[in-house]
Amino acid sequence: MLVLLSLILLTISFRESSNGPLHRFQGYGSAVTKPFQVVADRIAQPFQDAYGWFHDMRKAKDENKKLSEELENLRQQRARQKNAEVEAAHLEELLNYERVARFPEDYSKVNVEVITPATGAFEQTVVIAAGQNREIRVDDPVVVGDGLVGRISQVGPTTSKVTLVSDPNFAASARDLNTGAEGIVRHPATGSDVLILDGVKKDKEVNKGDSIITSGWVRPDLSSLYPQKISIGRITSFSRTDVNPIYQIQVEPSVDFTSLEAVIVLISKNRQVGGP
Amino acid sequence: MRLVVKTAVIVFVATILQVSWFDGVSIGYGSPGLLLVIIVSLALLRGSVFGAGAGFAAGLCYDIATYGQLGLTSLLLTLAGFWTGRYGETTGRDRAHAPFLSVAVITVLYELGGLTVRFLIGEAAPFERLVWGALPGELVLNLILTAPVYIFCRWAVGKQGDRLGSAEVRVLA
Repeated sequence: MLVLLSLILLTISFRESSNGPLHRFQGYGSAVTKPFQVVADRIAQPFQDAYGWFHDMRKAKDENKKLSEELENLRQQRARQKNAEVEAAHLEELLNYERVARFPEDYSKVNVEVITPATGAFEQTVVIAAGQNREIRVDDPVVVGDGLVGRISQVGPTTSKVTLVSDPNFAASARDLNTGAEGIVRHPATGSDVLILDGVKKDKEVNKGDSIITSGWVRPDLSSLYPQKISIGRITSFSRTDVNPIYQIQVEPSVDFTSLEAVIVLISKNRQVGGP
Repeated sequence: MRLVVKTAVIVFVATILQVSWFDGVSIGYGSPGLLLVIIVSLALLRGSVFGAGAGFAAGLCYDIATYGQLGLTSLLLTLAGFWTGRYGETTGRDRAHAPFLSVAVITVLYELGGLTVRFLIGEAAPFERLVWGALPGELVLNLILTAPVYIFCRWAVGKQGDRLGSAEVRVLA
């Protein structure tokens, strides 16, 4: 009887839309469990902090040297970038240039706590402590300081589910920041830790170490879910074969999905004033 | 009635702990399955029907709290509870290794069952990631949890047939 009931639940929840009655029930149920999860998180926090302290201390020395070198490079890059940004903004103004929504200036941010961490070999999702109460909707992009985390895949009254970039069902259009080669970032079916940048033709140029960012394209009737220029990761290796017209490119994500404590949900400012 | 309330509280608290604490701890992709170990322990102690009921409730709570596919974890934990209960009622009765053996076998079957159901409904079901990435770590962590969880469950809900046992002795005498 219970097995039958489970199968019925599974079938209905699988077939119904994301705003169907079972999904709504799930949203309300999640809202009920949220306070308990938050309390459990608070209790665990000191222990996690203590573990994090010891863990980080061990790595700190090695990282310090590496980061000092990186910082110097980034300072120089930043100075050049700032100059280019000012120049680009000036040119856009002169040309009366129409542009697509940009991150971060065209988005408002909802900073929110992660109440259920990513787990399991199958789904890579987290539950966050904000939902319809903070104007969050399905497909809103989710980021942290390091880059793209994923997108909202289900919304409840006070909680939401985020499908991470590392989930097999996730895909985002992306491009190589240095060369402009475009493709789709997704998780390989084999279940490894790295992502792949799929669909990059062999006549394009890619290099090891290149940054991969969201491409944020816009067509008249369709647009990418993600704003332009959010970091996704870095190319760790690429290869090409004679028979395959596209590259095999591996990308290491810039975000550590195993230690997400808080994320930022991006809400388009256009939407808030009545846009889609 | 008290038993049902006690079990409901245990299952609910275990779900919260699972999603808040245990899902965040991992070896490879494998996280400790407190909820699974609780259901196996309850089923061994209280029988198949009780185990199936507790498994269904636990699965429902878990799927709700994590926005999982509603019914999936319920289905797997219901079956886990029922079959562990049957083992407890028959060959596993009073054997010291029964909780460990049950947890080990059910962990493997639970993950393979999950993989199969996901495959059948067309979701991503990475076999290699499960077998090499998740299963070994999960098995070790679940076995570490088994003894304390079983002792706790035995203390909290007792063992089915404890009172029946003494009645049986009286009749034979």
